[in-house]
Amino acid sequence: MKKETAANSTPAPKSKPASKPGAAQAIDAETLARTAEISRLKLSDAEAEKFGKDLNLILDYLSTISEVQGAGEGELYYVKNQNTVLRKDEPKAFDNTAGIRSQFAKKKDSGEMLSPKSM
Amino acid sequence: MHESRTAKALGEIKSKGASARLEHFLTQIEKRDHSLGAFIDVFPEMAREHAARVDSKLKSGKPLGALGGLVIAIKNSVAIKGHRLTCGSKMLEHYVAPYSATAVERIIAEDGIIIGSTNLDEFSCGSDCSKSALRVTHNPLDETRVPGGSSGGSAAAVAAGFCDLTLSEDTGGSIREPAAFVGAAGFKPTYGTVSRYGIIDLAMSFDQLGPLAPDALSCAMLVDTISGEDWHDATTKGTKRTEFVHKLDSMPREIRAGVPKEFFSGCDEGVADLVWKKIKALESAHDGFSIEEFSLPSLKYSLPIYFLLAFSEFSSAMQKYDGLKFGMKWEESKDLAEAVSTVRDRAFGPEVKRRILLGSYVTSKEFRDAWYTKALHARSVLKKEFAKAFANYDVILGPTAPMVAWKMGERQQDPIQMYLADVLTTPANCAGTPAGSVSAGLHAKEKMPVGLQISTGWGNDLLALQVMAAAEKV
Repeated sequence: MKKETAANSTPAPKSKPASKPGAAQAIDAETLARTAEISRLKLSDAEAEKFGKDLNLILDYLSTISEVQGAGEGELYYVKNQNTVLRKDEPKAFDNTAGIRSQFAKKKDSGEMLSPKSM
Repeated sequence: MHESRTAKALGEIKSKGASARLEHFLTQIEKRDHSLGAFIDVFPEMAREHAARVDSKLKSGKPLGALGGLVIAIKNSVAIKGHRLTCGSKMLEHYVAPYSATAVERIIAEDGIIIGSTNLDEFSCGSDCSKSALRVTHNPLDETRVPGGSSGGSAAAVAAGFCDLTLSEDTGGSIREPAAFVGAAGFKPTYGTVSRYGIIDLAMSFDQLGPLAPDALSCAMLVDTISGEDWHDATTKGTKRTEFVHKLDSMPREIRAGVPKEFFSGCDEGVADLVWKKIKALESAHDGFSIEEFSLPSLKYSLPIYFLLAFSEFSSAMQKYDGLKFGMKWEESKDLAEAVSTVRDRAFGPEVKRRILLGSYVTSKEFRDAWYTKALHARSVLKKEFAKAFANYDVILGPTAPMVAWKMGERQQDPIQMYLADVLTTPANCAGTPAGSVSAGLHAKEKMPVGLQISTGWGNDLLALQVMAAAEKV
């Protein structure tokens, strides 16, 4: 059985820190735990150790990005230049809503999706 | 006289009929796919219906659609209504697509016969098709080796002769690298040429559908079929359906080809030798074809740019997989967050988790300026440098991957080694420009295929396909 690790007790990665681009810092145990939490991922002790090492190794490799002199350039989110395209506001009914409802993990008899209690 | 595999196939359809050919493919799959692992699902009933329709047209003398009865497999990240859309993940193992992708609808409308869905690395996270949660795919040319990825199932299906061609998806080289590893052809069109409606989005500013096929002719046939405007996808606005097939053998006489020195940095010697041999052969065979080495300094940053942005978009795209709307059932938990985290922990494989974590990290408030924003600036620089290069050269040539297909199990411990397989394919995805791969021959020592990559400027897809077709003949 996999042992779950509480967010605040993830073991520290032992690899060297990735810190080249600007003020970026190494992913330490605390940062990894916080990142896992916002990613909605649980990590076992073994996973936390492995991912901690991997992530620092990968970021160290990716840190060459800091060498690019691109501060004067725009932020390129999309490679295709186009203005926002608005189509006519004509509703079109989707013909297979039952097909979508049937995929819900859990549902009421009436077809609505069930979710865990949040309050 | 060169006759491509696709030209032969089209002749066979007329002489033998589509149904007879389909049965041949189904028999081959039955015989060999248990060890190759190319397919996730095979659709004999649907394929027989499609084939019967083609035969009926042939019998009555009605003209066939653009695909003329060719048998096509579809990467399992593309929706086919009524069939499983797993993306190679336990998260979607039992998910059935409620509608078909626009590209799939166009294939069916143009008399393509859809035979099944092909395996891939989980959510396309990988370069060797070993990371599918459903099955592992082997290279048909040497089953101890990988077929490349993430479209490894498609590559294996083409190389094993399980179909005529495939519809696949390329985010950072997922069509071209596996095509190179099995000696096939693969093509990533200009971003926005093909509708992405109905594909599972991985990195929305990079994803593009395209063919992984035996040759340039079938690549052109598929692009002609699936390209053009689709009101479901704004990136296709203003895009016209292409008409490449009949222009494929009309390559312009004068072509300036640039070969970036950086493409060969860190490249296997045998790969480099073969690629140069193919480039020289093109030059010798065509009077107006000139080649020139040049430098493209930003190329070395394309992999960091690609992974930083692709991880960021990927972590965002993965947020919807929460175990509520899709397949895997959540169990009673103390709260919603706990239930979602438990499902994602059980359903996602290690590479998917690694990319989600990295994407979340580089886009988090504290670190986004240092990583994500920096990569967005760098992508601008790379795109401009690419545009400048294409002002000087009509086509850029080089290897598709710096190595041949590696042995199963290799490159698993160090993620950087796996990511480096994409080092030569990601520039075209970062710039959104078209790029294809054709076989340059067999590596002298490894006896495995090597790919020649052919890139052209934004919107110049036809020239890329024409040079691919010319390269096949020399």
